[in-house]
Amino acid sequence: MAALADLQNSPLLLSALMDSDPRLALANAIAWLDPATLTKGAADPRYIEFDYDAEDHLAVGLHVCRECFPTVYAGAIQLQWQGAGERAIERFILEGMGAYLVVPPQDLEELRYGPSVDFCGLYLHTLEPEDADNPPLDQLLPVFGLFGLSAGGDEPDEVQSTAFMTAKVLVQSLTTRREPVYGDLANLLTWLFSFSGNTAIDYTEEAFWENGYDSAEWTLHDVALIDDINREAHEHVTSAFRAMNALESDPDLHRAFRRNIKTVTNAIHKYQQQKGTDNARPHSQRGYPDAATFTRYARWPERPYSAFHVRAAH
Amino acid sequence: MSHIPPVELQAVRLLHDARLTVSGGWFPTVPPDCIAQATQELITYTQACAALLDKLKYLAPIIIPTLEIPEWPL
Repeated sequence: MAALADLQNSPLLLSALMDSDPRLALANAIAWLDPATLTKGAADPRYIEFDYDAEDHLAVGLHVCRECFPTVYAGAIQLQWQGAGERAIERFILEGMGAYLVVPPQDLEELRYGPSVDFCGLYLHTLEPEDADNPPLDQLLPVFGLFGLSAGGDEPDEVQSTAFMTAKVLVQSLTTRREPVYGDLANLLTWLFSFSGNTAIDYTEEAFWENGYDSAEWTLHDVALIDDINREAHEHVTSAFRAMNALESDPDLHRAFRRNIKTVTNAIHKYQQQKGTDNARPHSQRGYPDAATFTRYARWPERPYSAFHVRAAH
Repeated sequence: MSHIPPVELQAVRLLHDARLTVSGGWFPTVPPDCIAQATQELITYTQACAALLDKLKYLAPIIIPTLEIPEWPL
């Protein structure tokens, strides 16, 4: 009878023994709360860095959470101790990460490629007019058309380069305007011609990978950076759509926009003729003057401030 | 260094305190907030230890000219 009681008390005695030794107490605590640190790199005994390709997707998910979302990691580990199934733990990780990220992952498999960038770059030659899932195209094509560009982007390099230069001039001319609609219009142009400076806006996913850029890593710094990029991209595109709506609803603005495109394009052509552009040289080698040379050709009408901006000004 | 007391970690304290009341499983049942805090502290601690270990690998040797090692002549 006494032996049975000893057996029943043995876990308690054993844990008391472990508590009395700092190293064993630490090992016990790690096994309880941070077991992934004991198994990380299990696929490679010469472990130096976590190998995202060698580990299974749940191990990747736990590693990412341990590095960047410790609260989610803590919850997932406790679920494991409670005997939850793999799918329940995966769902917990995805939902937990989703609460922190601007672009949440849809699947743990995605985590191997770093934090997701929500690419929304626009390249005319990749836009598919017949794509039913691409509703903005109907709004975007007429704007491209004002620059002499059409779906497919088959125009000669010279036309495309002049359109790009014209867009840059217009954006520069808009920097002095304080009306919100002109900020939106500048955002529309930098989106259409991919010179916003924001990776998510200027690249499609395909173009990003083709350029050989490295993806971001699962570090606190990179996660914050990618979140900023995605947040800015979403605001930028929302702003660009506001500009498209304004162009459709404000005839004076649309007229000024069209006139400025035409005037600036003509000024660029005239400049090229005066400088004696050498047509025998490749277009990319001819060079263009600075956009500031032509900003005086763009004239914008006064536009009203929104009620919010009027209140802020007062 | 043997006189330096062990770091007081919340995880170790929780295990120690819960040992008196735990029944059933090996690990105690603790509110999620406590678990999250203790886990975060433990991760930070192990990361700090790993970083220190990494630094020690690159520690430059220190010349101690006054230290006598009797075994040396042997």
